[in-house]
Amino acid sequence: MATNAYEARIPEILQTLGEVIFELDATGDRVLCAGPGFEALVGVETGARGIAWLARVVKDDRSRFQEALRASRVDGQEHVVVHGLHTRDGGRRRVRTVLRAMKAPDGITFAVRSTGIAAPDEDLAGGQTRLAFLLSNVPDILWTTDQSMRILTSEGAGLSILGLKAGQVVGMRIPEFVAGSEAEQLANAAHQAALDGRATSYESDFSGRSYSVHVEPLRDGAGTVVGTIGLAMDVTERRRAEGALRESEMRLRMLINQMPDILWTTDRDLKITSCVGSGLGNLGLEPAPLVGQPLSALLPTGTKSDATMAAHQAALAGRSSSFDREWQGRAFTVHVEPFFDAYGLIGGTIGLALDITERKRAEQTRDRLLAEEQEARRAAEESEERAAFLADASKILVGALDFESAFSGVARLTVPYLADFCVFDVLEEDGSISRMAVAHGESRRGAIAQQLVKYSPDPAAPEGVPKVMRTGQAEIYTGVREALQKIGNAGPDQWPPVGTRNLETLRLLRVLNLCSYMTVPLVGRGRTLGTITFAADNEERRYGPADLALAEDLARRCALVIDNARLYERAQEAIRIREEFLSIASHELRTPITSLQLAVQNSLDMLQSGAPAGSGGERFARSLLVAERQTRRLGRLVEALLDVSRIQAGRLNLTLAEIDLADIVRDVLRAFDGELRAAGCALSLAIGPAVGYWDAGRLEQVVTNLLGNALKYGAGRPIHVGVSAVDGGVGLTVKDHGIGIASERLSSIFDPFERAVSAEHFGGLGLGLYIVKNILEAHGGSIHVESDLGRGSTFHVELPRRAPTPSHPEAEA
Amino acid sequence: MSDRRPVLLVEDDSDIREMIGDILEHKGYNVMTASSGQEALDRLATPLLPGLILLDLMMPGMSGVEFRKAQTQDPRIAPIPVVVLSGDAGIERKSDALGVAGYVKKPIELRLLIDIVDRFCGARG
Repeated sequence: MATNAYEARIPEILQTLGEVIFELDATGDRVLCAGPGFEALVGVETGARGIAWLARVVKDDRSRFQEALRASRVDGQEHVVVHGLHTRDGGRRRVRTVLRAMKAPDGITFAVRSTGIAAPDEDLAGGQTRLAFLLSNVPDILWTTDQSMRILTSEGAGLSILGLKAGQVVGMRIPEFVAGSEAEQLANAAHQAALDGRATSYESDFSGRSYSVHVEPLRDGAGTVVGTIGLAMDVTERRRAEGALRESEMRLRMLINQMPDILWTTDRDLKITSCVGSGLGNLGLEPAPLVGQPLSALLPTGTKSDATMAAHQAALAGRSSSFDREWQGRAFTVHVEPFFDAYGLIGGTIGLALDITERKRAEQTRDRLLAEEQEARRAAEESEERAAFLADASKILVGALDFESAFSGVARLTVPYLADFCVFDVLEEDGSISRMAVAHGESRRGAIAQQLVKYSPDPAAPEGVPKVMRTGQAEIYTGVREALQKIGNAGPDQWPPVGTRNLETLRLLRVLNLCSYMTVPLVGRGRTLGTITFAADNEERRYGPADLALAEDLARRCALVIDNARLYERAQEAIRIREEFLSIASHELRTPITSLQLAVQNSLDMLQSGAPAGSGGERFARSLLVAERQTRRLGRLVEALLDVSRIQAGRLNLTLAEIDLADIVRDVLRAFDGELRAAGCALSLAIGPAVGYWDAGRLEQVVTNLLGNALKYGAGRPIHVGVSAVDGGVGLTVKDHGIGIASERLSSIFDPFERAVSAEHFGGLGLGLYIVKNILEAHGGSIHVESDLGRGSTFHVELPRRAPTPSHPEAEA
Repeated sequence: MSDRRPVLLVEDDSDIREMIGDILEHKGYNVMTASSGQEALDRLATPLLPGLILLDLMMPGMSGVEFRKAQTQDPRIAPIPVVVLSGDAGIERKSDALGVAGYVKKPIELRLLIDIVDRFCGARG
């Protein structure tokens, strides 16, 4: 219930009790303010502030009243005066007044409550009857004594409670009556004081009951003290109730002390007057030392605008308020209210700090869990989206007929999910870069973006796509727009890292509003096959690790498609070479067979048409010579095919012996004598002895092949053959001045089934140089060629003096 | 014999050239020989044109295919029928592409060759 509601009931409570409250100034002369009932007490208008008070106190009682004022000012306690009071109508009445000094904003004043206790001018008989009736019904005891403290009268139901009758008591002296009781000293002192003219109150137990006792001087009409008058109010029940209240208060206090909260009160100066609650322990504080301390000893107070100070100031002004506050690592909700004293005045503040640390922690945990769950959900949705994106991309990659159309489809798929425009660059096998598949989400800019296809990056550019192609490492570039703006007014070193200095490309990128981009390598079987570039044309799209991971995943799938396409191309090429070889081999085999067959048929024809005699004999012999030559030629072809098979199986075995390479060259030249002359080739020789440990048959094969080629491709021009000792071995040189070999074919002429020229013009299996190279390598030697197209070729052979023979050590013996 | 038109044999393999030449001469034909396309064109520069060209395809210098191209572009020699002699597996397709009268696959069946030569260059009537 609000304090004000209680406040509203105070007048009613006071009237019910017959009490009047009012405030007196520092001297007690004047009434400063007064509550209801004051009019009834003295017969003046309520609120007639400033009316005289001390003058109304009857003259005999005035000094006692002033004495009570003084005493309260000194000790701050309540003092009771029973005194006469002049009423406005000229009458007198008896009043019991309780007063206490208090500190008011402008100095000391007195809080006073008075109760009318008797009316001396009332009809005495009626009064006595009523008094007797009253006393016989209250559990109190009223008595009078003479100056020797001998009891003159004793009334009240309280006597019978003690098991006494009035007659038993009257005549006894007070000291006798109280002798040996707990009240002895207090009772004697109070009666002595009354005899000395002073009213005294005390509380004491007597005969098992509790009493509140008031003793006053009994005066005659002249005001002389003639004895005492005493009233003992039985407060036994009240004491019990108070005891119960104390216990209840103690329990409450214990309860408060158990709470993790803190409850405190302050006076009007905001000094702590009480402080309880186990929350203090959490803050490392003790309640006792805090009492009397300023508020800052309990609550951290900062500036004047600080919530703590503001709330307490507000409470002093009658307003309640609350605020939240962190306090030594713990969280509190603080309520501060005005603290009303018994008179309904704001005597200070009352504050309650509820420790909400655990609740806050629980809330924080709940918030964190909620956030985590939301994050997990978001991540799951994102990952689902990414998986769906990759699945769509895979579908396109698998479904497309070639990788160019596959990449166009994938590029379109990436816009706008992963990019605003997307470019695929493929590294060709000759090291150049082909740009393909540009997709843009916006049709107008799409047309501009398509123009980028025309401008492939420079493979040597230090940044951008070429760099990623070289390093195989993905890169993210931001701030490209600013760099693009600088073109024209800053040096090329500040131009954007887009892998080109082509101004037209840069202009297109500026029109496309390129802001940032991410280039990922297409890596297949450890080789970078190209790149995908995802570009953003607005600042909102910021490429981060998650985008990079997705892009790299996509790139792996795309790389697989390129790799597969290239492998397929290679397989097709291998099939083409094999078929071409079969075609050549069949031609090469058919040519000697054709000659052989013609020779045999010719011979048979001659035999059938008569003996090959005379001039016919010569023709017959020619046929047989052809047959013999072509049989050997067939044998050589079959041997060459077998050699390829031996080489590829690693079974090219050598039979080593000490021979002179010069002898072998001379033998081969003799065998070629006819052909050389038929071809019209002049021959120059520079042959010195070159003895070594080699396979004579295989070296003859080498020389035959090289010389055969020189003759075949020599275009009838001079041929030079040289044999000489070189450092650590011997050298053989065969040089022609024929058609030569195109530079791009030089590297492959030693490969099987390769030839430097079209098979349409030159026969042969295309195995000769392959076999030569392998024979020489089996000897530990080597061969290389120098050639100018149209100006001839020179083959250089180098051989160590002794061929290595790891697999046949017995050959050395 | 004089009513038989000569045969032009274009073949880079000297043994084949010698054998076919021997056989056809024995059958009474005048055989002109060439070892490359260019040599064949040189032979055809004379007023006496052959009744048939036996053409090998794979030759150094000017190949058979190149020769046939040059021949068809020269109206003077374009009408001379050509029979391809080749061991090439794709001879039928290549012959069709060259628009020649026919082909004989190597190794050559002698009787077939003589029949063909007789048909194109044999005695008139």
